[in-house]
Amino acid sequence: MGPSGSGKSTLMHCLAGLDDLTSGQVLIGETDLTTLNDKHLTMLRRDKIGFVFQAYNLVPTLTAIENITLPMDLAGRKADQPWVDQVVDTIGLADRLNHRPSELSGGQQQRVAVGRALAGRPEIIFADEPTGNLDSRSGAEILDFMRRAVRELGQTIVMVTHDPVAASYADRVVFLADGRIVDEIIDPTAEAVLDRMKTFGR
Amino acid sequence: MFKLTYKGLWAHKLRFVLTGLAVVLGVAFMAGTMILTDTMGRTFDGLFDTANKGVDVVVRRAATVDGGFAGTAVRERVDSATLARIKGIDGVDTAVGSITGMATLVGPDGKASTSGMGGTMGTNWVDDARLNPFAIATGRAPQTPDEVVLDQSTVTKDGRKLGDPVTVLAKGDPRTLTLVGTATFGDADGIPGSTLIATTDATAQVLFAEPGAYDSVVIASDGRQDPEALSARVGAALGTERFETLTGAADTANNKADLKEELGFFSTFLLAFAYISLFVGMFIIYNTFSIVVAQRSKEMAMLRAIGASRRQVVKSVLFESITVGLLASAVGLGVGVLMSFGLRALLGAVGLDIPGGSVVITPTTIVTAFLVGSVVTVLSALAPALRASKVKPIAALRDVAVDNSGASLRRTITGMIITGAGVTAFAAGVIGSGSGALAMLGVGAVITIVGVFVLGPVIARPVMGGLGIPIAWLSGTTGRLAAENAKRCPKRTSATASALMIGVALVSFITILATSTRVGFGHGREVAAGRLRDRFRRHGRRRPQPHAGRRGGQAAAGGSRLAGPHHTGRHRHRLQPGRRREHVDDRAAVRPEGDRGQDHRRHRPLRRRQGGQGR
Repeated sequence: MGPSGSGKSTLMHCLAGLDDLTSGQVLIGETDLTTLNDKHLTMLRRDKIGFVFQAYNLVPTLTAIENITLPMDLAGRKADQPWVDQVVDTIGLADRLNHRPSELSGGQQQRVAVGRALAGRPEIIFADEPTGNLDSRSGAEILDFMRRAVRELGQTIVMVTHDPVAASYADRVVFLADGRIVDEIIDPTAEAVLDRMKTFGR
Repeated sequence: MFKLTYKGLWAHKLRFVLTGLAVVLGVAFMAGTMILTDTMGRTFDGLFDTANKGVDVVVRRAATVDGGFAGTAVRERVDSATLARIKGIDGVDTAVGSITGMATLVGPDGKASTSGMGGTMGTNWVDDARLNPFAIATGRAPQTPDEVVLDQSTVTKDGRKLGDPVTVLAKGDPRTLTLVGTATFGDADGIPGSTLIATTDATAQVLFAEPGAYDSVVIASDGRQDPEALSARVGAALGTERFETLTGAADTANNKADLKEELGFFSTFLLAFAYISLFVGMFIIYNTFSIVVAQRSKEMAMLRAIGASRRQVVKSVLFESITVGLLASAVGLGVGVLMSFGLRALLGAVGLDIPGGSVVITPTTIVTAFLVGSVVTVLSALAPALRASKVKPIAALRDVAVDNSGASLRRTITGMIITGAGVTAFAAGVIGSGSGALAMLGVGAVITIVGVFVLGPVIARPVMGGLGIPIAWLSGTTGRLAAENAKRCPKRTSATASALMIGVALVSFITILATSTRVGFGHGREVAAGRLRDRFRRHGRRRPQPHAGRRGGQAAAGGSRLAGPHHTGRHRHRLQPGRRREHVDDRAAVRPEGDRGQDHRRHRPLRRRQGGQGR
């Protein structure tokens, strides 16, 4: 969490191995990202990391279920069917699995995107403003769903947002300003986050 | 990943079809050309086999090199006394003199009739069926000096009847003969694309050769020795310094080889077209794939972000291009078959009638079509694919895709080197002479185009800066915006400009080629007429001029080889300016002034006729 230009996205890109570091280390599990070459970074992203983008970023030519299993297809792995079924059940799109992204609403597309991130059982999921393009109801659905993934499926999720309501769904909020971590709140409420945010303006 | 590629292809059918279209056209032209050439080759091979089937040995005068015509052999004729001697040689069953000369038939409408690629051939009718590939279909063979036999197809085409007068233009004044019979050639109604005029020996000698002489003597063996042995025996009896003997089989092989050479120009000509269309197709494919890949760079970056390797991204584009290449090649091959008919009709329309026969599609044609089609497509797609794989995954997370500017130092240097090499080759071609220089010129031009294409993004910005000033001055803010826009994406600007460049180059190429062909045809016609005059004046024969070394019995073969001076020779002159000069000089040098008036009159119908076809 942090105001524009605070370095939220840059930090996340570094954590996810999408951007190069000038100094320091990024560890995912036991792996030091800074020591990996492009090929191994790709494999790491494929196997250990999940992504949810603000703009959904589904492949328009594939159906919902094909998008969900795409990371496994890319890895040449067989999908873990019971797990995929559980993910599909959780995102609540069982009846729309054979639709193309263009036939789904924004909220549904984002649910597919979350499903895609979950399906590969990554160690960590990075979500970059996942509710940024959604209306508040769809946004609430996604956030609710992501929290269930954490609670019920034991998934770690790192989410970048500047919406205090979205932040309130998290277990822990870290505040950034001018590229540095300046504060954190455990078990936040929307009001607490909003109050903290207000102090950045001054 | 393949599923992804395949689904992507299917989802963008129109894009797929448009990309493939460029390949289809290139491949079709090439396949069509190859099919046409193969078909022609096989037809003519068949003709020669038919023509020579009963001939065991051919006797003609030894070649003598004629000073006026560099490297060209001129043959004397064989006189009747020699023929009588040959008949007496042991092992010779039948020997007949054979005459083949150029002639023109006056059509029923009173004008010189147009004949096809093979031209019109005057010959003596040989009664021995073994030595004459023609057979009487209706009526009878010529028996008196005023009788003539024509091939069945000409008679049918002109609507002539037995007993009709037939006017023939050859040596001397026009002769009017009486049609007494029609002849067929093997299974055909005549030699495809060629007209036969056959008379008695005496008439043929007067019209097409000279009294008491034959162009060659053809021999049928009595079967007691093989053709090689008989050929050697006849050679020994006549003396090899004055006479040349060869077996019928060897003569057929020679004829086939000569014809291949004559057809060679033709396939080169058409294949050049095919390669140019492929070259243009390659630019179109390259541009198409560049645009397609650029459009999808965000999707590719996203795929990279969720775990697609660089390899997988490249593979997906390559797989797409291979699919496009293979499918388009298959379609192109099919279109090429149709195109070979079209080309045949087109050539027929300009006076190059190509004999019919079934279409020959060799494995070489199929393999070449597929290989060239897919390799060109894959190569065109390779660079954009590699570029696509370099898209940073992070681009997917940003809204604006990164515009990688085109003006890199490497591009500048590469472009400079290629353009420099092209201009150098071009200059060398302009300064030099001969066919090597011409080839250099062409290669240089192509390399220069490639160089400018590479340099495009580098020069786009400064060029637009210069062009932008008057545009901004003329149309204010709109103009300034337009100029700035063109400068902003130099790669896009140069891609558009390159497409236009290729288009203009292509149009200029075709226009110049058409004009040159027309002028070349005209020139070739004069050269051909000149050669005709030489030939009639000297009663000489030369190889590899098509009417050289003919045997009357093999009139058929001679007829088809008449293609040489009429057509192929013409193209050679155009393609090799160095030789053209020689021919012109030769004509001027060897033709006595006194002959000119008569020759001019005699050959005018022929020339006028061809002029009409060429223009």
